[in-house]
Amino acid sequence: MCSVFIFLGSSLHAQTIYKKPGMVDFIKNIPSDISEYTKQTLCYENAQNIGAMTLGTGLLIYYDDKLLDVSNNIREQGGWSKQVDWYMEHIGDGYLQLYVGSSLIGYGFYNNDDRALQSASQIFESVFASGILVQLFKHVTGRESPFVATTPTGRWRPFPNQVDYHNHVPNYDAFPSGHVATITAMVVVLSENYPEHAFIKPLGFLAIALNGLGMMNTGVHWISDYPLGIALGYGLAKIAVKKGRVSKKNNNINNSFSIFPSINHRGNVGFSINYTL
Amino acid sequence: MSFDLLTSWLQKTIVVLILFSSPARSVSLEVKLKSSQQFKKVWLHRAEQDFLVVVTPSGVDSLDWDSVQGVRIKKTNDFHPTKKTFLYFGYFTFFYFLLETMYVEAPFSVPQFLGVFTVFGGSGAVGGYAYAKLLEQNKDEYLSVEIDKQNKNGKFQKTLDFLISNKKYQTK
Repeated sequence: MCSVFIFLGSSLHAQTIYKKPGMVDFIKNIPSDISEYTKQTLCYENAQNIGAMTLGTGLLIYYDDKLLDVSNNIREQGGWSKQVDWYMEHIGDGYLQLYVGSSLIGYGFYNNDDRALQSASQIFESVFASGILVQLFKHVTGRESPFVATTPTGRWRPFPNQVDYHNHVPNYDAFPSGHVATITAMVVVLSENYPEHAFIKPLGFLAIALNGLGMMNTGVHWISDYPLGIALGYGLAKIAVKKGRVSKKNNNINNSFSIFPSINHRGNVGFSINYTL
Repeated sequence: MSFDLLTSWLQKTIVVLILFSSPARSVSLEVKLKSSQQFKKVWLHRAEQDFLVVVTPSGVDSLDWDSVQGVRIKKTNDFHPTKKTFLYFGYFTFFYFLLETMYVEAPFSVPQFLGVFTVFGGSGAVGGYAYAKLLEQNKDEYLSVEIDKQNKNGKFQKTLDFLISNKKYQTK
């Protein structure tokens, strides 16, 4: 007896599964992450985005001192203490990312959950990668932090003496914000890997905003330090997420047609015809 | 430094957001083949009348329903939103407690920094492990279905309709 199985599929979304990360994958991936980020960013197609971000940052630099006053007014009107600003500032200092990443490791090991392990690895990877680029920018741009500013919007000393930099770090390390890059990276990794948890994005964006506000109020950053920080964290997190997935894109299963002989458990011999749309 | 975060609107906002977050937790699908004695977890791509299409590390594969003895859908019950909020609240409060306690010694020397790093890493890992263990104590629910394709109105057909209609359980 012959039987013919015709199998029609119609999926349009990419298939994703998570591979278990190696212990040091997050370190090994950093050079290629930075390389890929540079290639993706510094290309002709991205010129419009770079232009928009540069223009936006320039405008924010122009209004930096006024926006710093606005931020301080928000705090005064909101009535929260400087201690709360301190809490907000530390949302992005890396310890929270370490804490959350480690929690994902604990959870992932207990449940043998590759998605949790991969998320932890990606958080560490994107945080370290963005940290390297942020430090590079800081050491090149040499912008004063608000609390040590000698001009209304902070003096810039491009390519500062590196010894001076390390002796007087706040005089040089404002631009861009590593804190914002760090929290952005974590939010992007978690929201990409846990899309079913709708609260991650609003909570994450709120965390980024609070982090930014807190740092302005404590005088460690200007608002114009944030766009580049966000771009670095976002871009590097996206790259880390992409690398951590085994993606079975439809292009290897779609529009495919195959015929092969088959035999089922009853001993019936036939053909299977697969055509996937 | 005073520990006044407990009364801050920041934490209240976080708690409210988490309270209204989805308590859902993905179910998993396990399959027992006729040639096997054990249920094996599969990542469902989609369900068809004749095939169950699953995602494997090497690509998309299909299982003929005739070769399947039974399936079971495992649902681990999530925490009640109130309990979940309490746990998240404790989790972040503990983080800030550690941060404040250790920042008394800031700026850190290298050994101190390593200590801080270890404390955050260790407490985070223990927290995640404990959360998973607590979650496991919630009773898992299984819907087991013996495959009987001939019975069109039976459990198999209902399960198949459920899998076909419910995209939530399909691999993203």
